[in-house]
Amino acid sequence: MNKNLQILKNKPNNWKAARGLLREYREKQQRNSYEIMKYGLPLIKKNSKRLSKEELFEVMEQVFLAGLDVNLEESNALLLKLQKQFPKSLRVTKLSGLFEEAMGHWKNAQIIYQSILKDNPSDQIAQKRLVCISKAQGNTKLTIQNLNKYLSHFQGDTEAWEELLDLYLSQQCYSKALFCCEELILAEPDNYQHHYQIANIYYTIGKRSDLIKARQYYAHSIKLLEEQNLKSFYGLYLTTNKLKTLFSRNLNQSETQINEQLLQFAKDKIKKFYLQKEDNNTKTTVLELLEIDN
Amino acid sequence: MSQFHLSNSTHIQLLLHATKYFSEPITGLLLGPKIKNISSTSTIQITSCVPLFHSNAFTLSSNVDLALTLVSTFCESNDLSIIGVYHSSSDNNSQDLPSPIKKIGETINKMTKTSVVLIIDDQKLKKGKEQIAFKAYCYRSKWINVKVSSLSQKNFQQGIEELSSEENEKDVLVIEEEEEKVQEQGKNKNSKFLKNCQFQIGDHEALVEKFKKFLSEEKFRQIVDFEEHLQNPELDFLTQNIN
Repeated sequence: MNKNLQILKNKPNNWKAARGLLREYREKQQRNSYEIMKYGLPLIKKNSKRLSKEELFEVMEQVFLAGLDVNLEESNALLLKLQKQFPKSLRVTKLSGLFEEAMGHWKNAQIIYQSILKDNPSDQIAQKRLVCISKAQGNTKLTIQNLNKYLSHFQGDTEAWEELLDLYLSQQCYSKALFCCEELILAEPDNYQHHYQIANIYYTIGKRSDLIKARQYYAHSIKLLEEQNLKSFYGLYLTTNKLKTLFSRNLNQSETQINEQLLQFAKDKIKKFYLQKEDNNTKTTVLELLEIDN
Repeated sequence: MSQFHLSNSTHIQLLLHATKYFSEPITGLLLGPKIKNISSTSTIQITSCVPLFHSNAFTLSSNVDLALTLVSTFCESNDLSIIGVYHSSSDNNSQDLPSPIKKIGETINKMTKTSVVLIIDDQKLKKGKEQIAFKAYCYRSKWINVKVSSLSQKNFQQGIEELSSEENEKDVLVIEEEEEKVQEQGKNKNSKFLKNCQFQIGDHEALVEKFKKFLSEEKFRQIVDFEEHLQNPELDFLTQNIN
């Protein structure tokens, strides 16, 4: 467990640990709203003098954002303070937009972002938030449209491509999801997650040529990261197994051999992964499954 | 009448899974003791659950195949069977039964001849107005809503005892009954719910009290689902030890 979090579990009033924890969360942009509110709010209320002015306002913004998930009243109070301190700030206006979104006041939020865009037409965050509003309203098809429009302006936004990928998956539009995945691989070719994900999609589409592509991508994902990539080994195991059981007639001898080698490789690695771990139900089940297959 | 009984502890685990990942769609499997001969008057008990995903991973068949394979291997050696699947989507206005969930339910139906899908709606858990937080569906050539009702603790125990004594009397295949019911359904178009099938949960008030207690104790952090296991293989997703 996180060092600071451990200290805070025993001494919840330790302001140093709280400050450290919040700094970590800011750096890694983690959405641990519950912890941020629990340890950040007392930091602001009781220990604000321990923080530099700059950091105090950053923490206030961070706790405000956490409150949108867990405590809207506190967020409201923080927003009022921030608005008092920075009356004409674009950054704080965006926070007020987020607050309206959290309250479900979509029209108010839209008005805020559209007024920002009037003066700053290329503001990326405001444009992005408008897409988020259509997602929150539950209109997936409109959101996909809006997100495509957004991406035509901001092609480099990998987070947006990931979101579009997710939306296409939720609608089971696998070929379009593939396209998003390809964009992600172009943008971040060393990221094993993208290769793993595209392999998953090819496996889902499921024809013989797709399974072979899936196998290649799982293998590539493993090449990029071997040690903590159990899921890609599972993917390789499933794909080679499926090719063996369903498509063995369509593979020539050398292809069958390669497939068999990869299947064994995956099984051995999975076994190795689990044998290093403590005994529990999952370990027993996995080892049983691999034995049955043999 | 075929009945499903959902134990309170499983019910709470579903809700804890939904709580832990409040901003994501969640999916998981429902397990119960193996029944040797399913008849039209069977009581099917759901005694535990296996949380699987907290993302759109449920739409990808590689993840689903793997999860179903592992869980059925686990069931074989523990005299259990997979009874159904539960799901909760992250947005409020989405379609009730996403088709990947239907597919999972139908796969389970092929394996165990009876399956149920629970769709959780966490809007129903608003403070002060707690209602039964899900809808149940059973498969009779297509997915039909099943009436969910709550039994007080006394009746719940009685109910199980009464019905389990009738279990072995009739050996009617459920499949024949399915066709009859579909015909009946056609005649009475106003009936929203599947006839002769009930989904029962335990004492709802007691459940809500216990759930609130668990929330304050942050027990939802102890839930481990399959996705977490893939990131961190030391975690055991097959049994949740939450009391």
